[in-house]
Amino acid sequence: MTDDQFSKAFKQIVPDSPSPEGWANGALRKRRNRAGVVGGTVGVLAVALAIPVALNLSASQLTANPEEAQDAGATSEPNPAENVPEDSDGGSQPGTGDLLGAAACFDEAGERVQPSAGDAELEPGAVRAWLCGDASPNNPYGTVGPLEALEQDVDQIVEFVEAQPELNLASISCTMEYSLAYLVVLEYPDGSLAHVTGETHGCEIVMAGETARSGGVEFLDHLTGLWSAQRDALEAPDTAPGLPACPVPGTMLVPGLDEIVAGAVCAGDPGSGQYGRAELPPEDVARVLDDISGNAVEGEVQGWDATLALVGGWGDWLRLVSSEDASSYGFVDAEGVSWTWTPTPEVAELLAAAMASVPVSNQPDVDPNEPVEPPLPVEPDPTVAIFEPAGCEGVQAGELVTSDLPGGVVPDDPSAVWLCGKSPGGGGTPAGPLEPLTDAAAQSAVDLYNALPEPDPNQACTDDLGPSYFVVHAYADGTRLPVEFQDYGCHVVAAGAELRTGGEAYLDQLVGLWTELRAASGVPAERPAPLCIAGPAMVPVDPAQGFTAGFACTNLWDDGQGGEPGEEQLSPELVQSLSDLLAAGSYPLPTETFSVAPTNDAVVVLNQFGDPLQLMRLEDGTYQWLAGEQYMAWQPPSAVAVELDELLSA
Amino acid sequence: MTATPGATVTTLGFERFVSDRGRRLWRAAWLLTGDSQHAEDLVQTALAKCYGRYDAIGDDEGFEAYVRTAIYRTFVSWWRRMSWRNESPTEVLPDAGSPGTGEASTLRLDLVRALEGLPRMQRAVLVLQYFEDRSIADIAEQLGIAPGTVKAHSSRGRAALRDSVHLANLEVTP
Repeated sequence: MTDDQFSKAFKQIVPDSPSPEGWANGALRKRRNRAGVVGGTVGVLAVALAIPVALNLSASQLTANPEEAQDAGATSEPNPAENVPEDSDGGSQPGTGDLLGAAACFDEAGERVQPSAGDAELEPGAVRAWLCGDASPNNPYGTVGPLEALEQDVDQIVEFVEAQPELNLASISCTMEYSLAYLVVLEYPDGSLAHVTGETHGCEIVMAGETARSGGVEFLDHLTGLWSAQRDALEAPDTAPGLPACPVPGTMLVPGLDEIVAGAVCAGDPGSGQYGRAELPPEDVARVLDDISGNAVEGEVQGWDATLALVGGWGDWLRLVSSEDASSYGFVDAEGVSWTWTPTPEVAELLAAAMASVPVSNQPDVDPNEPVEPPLPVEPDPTVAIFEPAGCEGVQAGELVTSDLPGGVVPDDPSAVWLCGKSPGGGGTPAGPLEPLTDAAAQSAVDLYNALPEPDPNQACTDDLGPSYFVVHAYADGTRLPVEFQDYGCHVVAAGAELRTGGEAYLDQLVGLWTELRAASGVPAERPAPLCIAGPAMVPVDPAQGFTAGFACTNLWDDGQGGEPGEEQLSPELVQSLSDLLAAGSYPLPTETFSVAPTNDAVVVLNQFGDPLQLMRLEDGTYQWLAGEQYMAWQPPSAVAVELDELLSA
Repeated sequence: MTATPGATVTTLGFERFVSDRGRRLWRAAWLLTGDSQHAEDLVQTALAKCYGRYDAIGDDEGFEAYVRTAIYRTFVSWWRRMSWRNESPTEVLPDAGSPGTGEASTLRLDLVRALEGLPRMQRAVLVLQYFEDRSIADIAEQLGIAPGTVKAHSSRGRAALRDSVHLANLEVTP
């Protein structure tokens, strides 16, 4: 099929769309379900914590009379390891110390309870109920239900379920995404239990016994409404019954800022799943709340690592997700509104200090007499860094990071300015020039940054990812001040929390400074290995200027066929041949697509300044390289082609 | 936090946007998923993710582009959730009852089956390239990958379609 035939075929086969009626509501429902939010609760921004009132959260002591609650006696400070009340009606999942839901949601083994054949029949008369989310020690990313039991209007649960239309499971087709599976446990006066399950995804099934009904989303809304109504009739406890697991799961009910009584930060490694937690002192929680109240703005939540929880007295929390660079947070409030919050430097510092104090692993001490399992073999690190000149040292490893600049500007008179590839955008980490800018050129680089404007706060940014680069300003006293150009999203240039826009033009102008420098006084240089993994040169390579070294690169990426990556230097004679051929060659017009599929082998040649040019070998033996946004194609003479093929197949 | 008075206006505007432009979004989602219901889920998922930016973007054209990006990105990343759920792709059958000639129905069945055999990223690239008529640069930006990677996926995807048994006897109506 030709391109034209593909185009026609794709357009021909699409059927008529169904009516979009209900899609908007469906989308809004998905948002609420993701946040675990109950509708209708309106909170008010506050700047102070609740006045301390002692209240035992045991369900048997829940009362509508706050004075009676105050007489119940003071509780101790919440201890994550010992927060299960004596009658075990609420609190943490036994044994973990983390708040994962009401104790009634878990069996003796710590597993989430499930409906069973021995369940009581669902009927009016239950005296209390618990609402269980899907969070468990095996599912820390799940959703946590309220800790306390419902003890008023419990019959409304049964009434609601019985009013839902029945479903014939054999005849319905349900979508396969997952949103939330929850469970209601109802306790009757004789101690028997009934279970009702609900789902907010697929066919939104509600199951009671053998009867399937629809309305899983509406049922959950109804349940959280019942719990909210019960809470509205009581005074919220002023101490949290515990703290959430890390990373922080979601909760079905979300407290308002005025209901927060505790806070905790998580720190750890998403890859290994090892996390630790540290509770924030009350005065730090108050500062965080003040800061959020004053600085949070409506905006989409970015990132997915939930590292901050602000806990309400009922044991629910506001879950804050940190951005990738941890400079800001996102959260969804009780109304389902998304907010972003960039802490002030002072609050950012206290949060950083709190996270730095977190022990990453919360594993129990190992018995020294227990046999130790042999360590698993270490996988080879697929992200080997490319060579970094001295001024770029630490950029790829993340050891050199940006920070707010003194006075918001790069100081004048740097001794050198370096351009460094930081992270790959597909095709390897960009290879920056081996030499820095110095003297007037270095000052020009400073002037370029300081002239960049601030970004438009209303600018919409794409949610893509791409390479990033560091511009490192080095000074005679050894100071290095980097700024980071993010070649994605809004293409900002970042120095700590300070952002400027115009990054693409900034990079082009910097490259122009290097080009001028080299034209005037360029000094040859050799780039050390590894070369095959290097991405495009940041200062574009002109084949007409010739090459001084070359390498045959095999198995550049994992195509599932096995094979170790290889890098073998070409002979000087072959490099000279390539240099002459490429300098003198005439090429077809640049293309936007490969005419033939590329292999995962390439030849990398270096110019006199050590900048790499990657010639990708295609399946038909031709080579292509990236020139701007297009590809140049080249067919080597047969003798050279044979020599290259032998090297690449070795 | 107080509920903003504009929330209701936002919701109304969002509903109007979905009513006006939802069908267009669904068509791309259908080519990606090969299934009417999955396409609807994909569109709603993307709309759910993007709702919070509706006001900030401020115009339907821009918001549609934003949602479209989310549709493709969500589709490409869905494999993670599906592998966690141990789900395997269902047999994808084109929707019955859609108007079209017998030839069009055959083409639909064959091409959908051939597309189903492609990795998600290749499928996304080809749909953007041949259904949405996007340039390589646009596709790269949409999917957050390098232009060279787009070209590689396009090349491999087209080669796979050409070699697919489902398209061995394909005739495309000019």
